[in-house]
Amino acid sequence: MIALEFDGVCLRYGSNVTLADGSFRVGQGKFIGLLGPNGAGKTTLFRAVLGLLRPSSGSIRVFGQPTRRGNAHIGYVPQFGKQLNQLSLSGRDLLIGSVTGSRYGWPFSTAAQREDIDRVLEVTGAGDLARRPMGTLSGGERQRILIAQALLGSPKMLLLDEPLVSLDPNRQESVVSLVRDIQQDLDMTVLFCSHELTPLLGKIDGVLFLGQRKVALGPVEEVITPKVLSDLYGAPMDVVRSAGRVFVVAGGPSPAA
Amino acid sequence: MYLIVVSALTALSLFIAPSNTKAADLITVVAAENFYGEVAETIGGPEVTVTSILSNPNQNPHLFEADVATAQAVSKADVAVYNGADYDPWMLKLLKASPRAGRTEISAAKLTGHKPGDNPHLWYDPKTIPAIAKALADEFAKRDPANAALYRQRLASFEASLAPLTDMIAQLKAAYAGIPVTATEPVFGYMASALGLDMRNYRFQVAIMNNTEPSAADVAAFEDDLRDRKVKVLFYNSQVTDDTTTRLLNLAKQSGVPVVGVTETEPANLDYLAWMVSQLEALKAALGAPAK
Amino acid sequence: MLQYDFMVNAFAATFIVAVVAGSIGYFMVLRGQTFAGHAMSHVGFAGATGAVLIGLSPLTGLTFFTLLAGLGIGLMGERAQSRDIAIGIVLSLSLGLGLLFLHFYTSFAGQATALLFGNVLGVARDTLWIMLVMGALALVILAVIARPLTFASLQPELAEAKGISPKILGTIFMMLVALAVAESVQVVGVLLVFSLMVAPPATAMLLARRISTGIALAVLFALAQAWIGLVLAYYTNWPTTFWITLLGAVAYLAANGVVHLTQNMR
Repeated sequence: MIALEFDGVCLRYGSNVTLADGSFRVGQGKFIGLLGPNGAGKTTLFRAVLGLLRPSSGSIRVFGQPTRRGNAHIGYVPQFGKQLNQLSLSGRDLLIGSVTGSRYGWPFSTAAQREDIDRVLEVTGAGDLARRPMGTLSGGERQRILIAQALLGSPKMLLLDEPLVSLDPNRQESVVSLVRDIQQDLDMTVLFCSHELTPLLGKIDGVLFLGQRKVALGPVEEVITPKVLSDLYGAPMDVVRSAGRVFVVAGGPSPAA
Repeated sequence: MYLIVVSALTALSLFIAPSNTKAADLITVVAAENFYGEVAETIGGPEVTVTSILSNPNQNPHLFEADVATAQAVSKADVAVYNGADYDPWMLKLLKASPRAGRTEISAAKLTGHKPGDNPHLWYDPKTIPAIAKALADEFAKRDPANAALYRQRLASFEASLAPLTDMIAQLKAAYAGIPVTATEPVFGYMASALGLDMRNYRFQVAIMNNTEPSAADVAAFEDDLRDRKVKVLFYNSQVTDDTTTRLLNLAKQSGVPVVGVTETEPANLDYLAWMVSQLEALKAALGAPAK
Repeated sequence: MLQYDFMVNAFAATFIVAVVAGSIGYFMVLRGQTFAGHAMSHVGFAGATGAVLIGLSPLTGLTFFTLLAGLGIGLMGERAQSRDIAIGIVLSLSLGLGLLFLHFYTSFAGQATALLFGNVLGVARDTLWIMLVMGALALVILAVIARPLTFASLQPELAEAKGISPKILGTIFMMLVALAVAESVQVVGVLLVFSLMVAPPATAMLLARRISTGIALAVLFALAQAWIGLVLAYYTNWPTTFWITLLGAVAYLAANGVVHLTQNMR
């Protein structure tokens, strides 16, 4: 079963083309890292999958269906928003708010919805955290709540947009582990967008690399090579392996020098 | 703490006062502007008690916000006198907030046939104060028929007392009708009309009154009138100082156009008659001809 | 005190304004849009003056124009900084238009300006009925959009992914603010409406954990502020609006103090 399919897709952000004639397929139940330089269009790609952006050409299919807004099969953890910084609202109330706030009218949650909330908090181990004000949680703890929120309604696909930003390395590791565990338990397809490859190594099934309006999908060893990366960065790149870790570095003489 | 005690005692006394039988016999009058309040005092004498709301000459009548005491005075009044023509809209609000059966409302605008949009400075029209006086006399006589003759008598003396003003207006009109004059604001407008003066730059004045900017063309026309001495007198509102007015005053002085200060509100130590007469004296001096 | 009609009307009017301003104000503070509320109260002037020029009632012009401004601000600004800019632009444009309309007046513009000087002590009995109807309408609209609005305010990207449009909600809300402000300003005055829209919700937010308790507290504080302010004004004869704004500031500072103390005690 193909979870996500891009066929000759062209994506635009304003007047910028971020993807030209991109095609790939992600199988169901895979944990894919979405990587690429800043401004390459990773968030734009997510918005296209979420149905918030129409591709200017080509087609995108999610579990065989065309993309649409409000797709209940997709859970989304957006980039860090500062509105949640000072919030005295508890995580639990935040979750209730997103459930009742997804429609107009009756503002109270049903028993079924509250059970779902309990479920996701248990799955992510965030039950106690969810009782505290969001503003008092650390970055990693907040991410745990947001991941739980994305699991409401039992989606089959999970998109995480730069969840590791402003977390220190050991926190980063625990977030990736948590996602990996959930992904395997619930057999979800996950696209995990990140700046760096290192925290994802050994946990992801493959890499979707976006750069220079091109995209490459494959196992780490096939995509994270100097040849593929130089092409996708539009500049000479090198790959350094050390103690089981992989670093992508700018390599070769700099063009401006 | 002290303030609360004092206020509580003051409030208490407000509740006690009405039970005084002498007070209950008086006709209670509330006047939005003190120059109308004065008229009520003159006509009503000791038979009425008058509260004037706008009585501080330094208070800007356009920014007035009524306080509790004012609202109380309005609610207890038998007779309410006010200018109207949207000059004192707060008064209408206070009256509607405290409806009272049998209360009489006297509006200077209605009496003199003026409507919203007209120049609201009705007290400068020589017809207004006598009309108010007559309306008040009639009203007091209706409410207190026993003293009707008294009120009519006071009305007659009041009208007689205004003779110096009426005479002066007639003199000045005979001498200076048709002479072009100008003003920074329309305050003096109705009086200028009564004197037969030709008031120029009206659009400029309306802009100032409405708190908007006069157009460049209107400002230029005004300055030309001064520079070329097309006007014989410049009236200005002596209670207002701003750059526009100051510049025009200086220009007038440089060009040799005499200036006359008029006020929107009644000065502290003058009554209506003295107020109007003193301003007309200033005008006479400015126009420079001996009285006939 | 209550033997005076104008005092009874004042308590009734401030009750309605407190409920509406407190609840709508809660969302304004949540969304960081208190500036919008302030701007709305000045925008109505252009509408009032323009309406009289073309022969309509100033109230019609004020309401229509304020709603239009709400629509404009809502459609223009999405992110926080562009909202500020959007509001600033709409406000200055409206004030400029107001000046232009006044320019065309050949007579005294008292009718239009009179509309803007509301006085809480000058509320007529039939005005109260109108206020009640408009207030109820505003609350119904707020109740319908409250949950999605909260969601879209706290987590706009996620709300969008779920099929809720933060832009449309934001615009509806802005028009609701416009309606509430336009109708109450001409009754009780600019300052009173604004002070009940900002301080009580801000104070409530310091103390309440949940949205629902926050709104309830905001309304409660607004009501307390208004009514205690009225009583103090009655006995001291100092301006009502002064007392109400003072109480608002005091309540906010006190709540701040309480929060700091309880934090330090942990």
